[in-house]
Amino acid sequence: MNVPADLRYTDQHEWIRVEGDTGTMGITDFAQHALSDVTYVELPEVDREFAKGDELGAIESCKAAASFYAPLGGKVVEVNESLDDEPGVINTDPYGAGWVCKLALSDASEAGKLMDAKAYEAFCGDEN
Amino acid sequence: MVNADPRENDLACLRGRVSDAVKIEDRSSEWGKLDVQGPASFEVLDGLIDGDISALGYFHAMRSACRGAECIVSRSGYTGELGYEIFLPADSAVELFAALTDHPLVSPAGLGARDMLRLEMCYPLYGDDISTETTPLEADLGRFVDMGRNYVGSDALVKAASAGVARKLVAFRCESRRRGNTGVDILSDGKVVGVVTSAGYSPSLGVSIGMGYMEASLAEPGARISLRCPRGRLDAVVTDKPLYTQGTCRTRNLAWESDR
Repeated sequence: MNVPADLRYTDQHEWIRVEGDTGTMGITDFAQHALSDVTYVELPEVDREFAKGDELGAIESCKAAASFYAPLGGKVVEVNESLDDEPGVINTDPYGAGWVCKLALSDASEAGKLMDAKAYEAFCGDEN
Repeated sequence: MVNADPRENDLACLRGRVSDAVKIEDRSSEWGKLDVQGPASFEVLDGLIDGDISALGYFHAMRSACRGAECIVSRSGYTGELGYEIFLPADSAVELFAALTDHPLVSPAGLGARDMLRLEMCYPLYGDDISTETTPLEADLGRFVDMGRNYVGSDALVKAASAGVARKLVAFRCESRRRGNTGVDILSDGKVVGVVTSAGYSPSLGVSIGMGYMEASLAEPGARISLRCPRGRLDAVVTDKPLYTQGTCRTRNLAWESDR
């Protein structure tokens, strides 16, 4: 299971990469593996404001559907439109080309409260 | 050969209708069944079944043996692809499953895969698309019903045929990969005209598909509908059946590859 060291993680299996006041998020390798082949991604609207933990959208696969949530509060500034034609990139590259949306964060320092890679790995171990 | 779920009801139904001269034994627990489905299924089974299955026509069956166990092999299935159903003693089934999945051309398939294959072919699923609440005429299965004969339910069907059915089971193709949901309303011009009975994403077609009952007068291929799903309306169009048209189940000349 791939868990990049430079990211932060939630207990809903989202990851977020924080650069200044912007966060890029997606779902983790653990999540894409559990979902299996992703077939459709319901993306949030750009400019939508939300709080940490709000439901942003949903990811459907051949066998399941799962909502994804905001790791931190803020506003959606960009969504990955390539997922409309190629949702499967979430399976093949969940931390790179499979990013889901970019957020303008209300408080980037809150990222420190999210799980780091080591804590997330332990969390996934418990889930199994 | 009955469906597993309603087996007890079916058995009670049969027992309740036959005369004392007829004895019915339920031997379900003694028999197992394995489905081998896909364009390579003849090649896979050719060596495993003692009899010559190359001459087995679509929807025909034969008695044979498989690895020392008696079996019945039918050229049938629920996927729309060339395939066989093997009926054999339950305690031989596990061994055959292992032998089959060892074969390089064979992968085990789960119920989700099976359900999508049958939905792509518009084969109804008992409990969802057909039930004790539907009739074969409503379910577009009239071609399996002989209207000229006398059997349990024939009177009701003859009456229904002359009155015309009020609803019909249709197939539809969505305009998105987003999945519909079983049990949601089918809308036409903003009005509820039906209900979804099966829905899912089709990997073979690259869109979501499904089936449902619709007011018969509106149930024509080409009709535009909308599914009232919890996450929003999903537009779709009623289609001909089957949705997937490249199935190989009626493939002929299976022995063409070998010198026979």
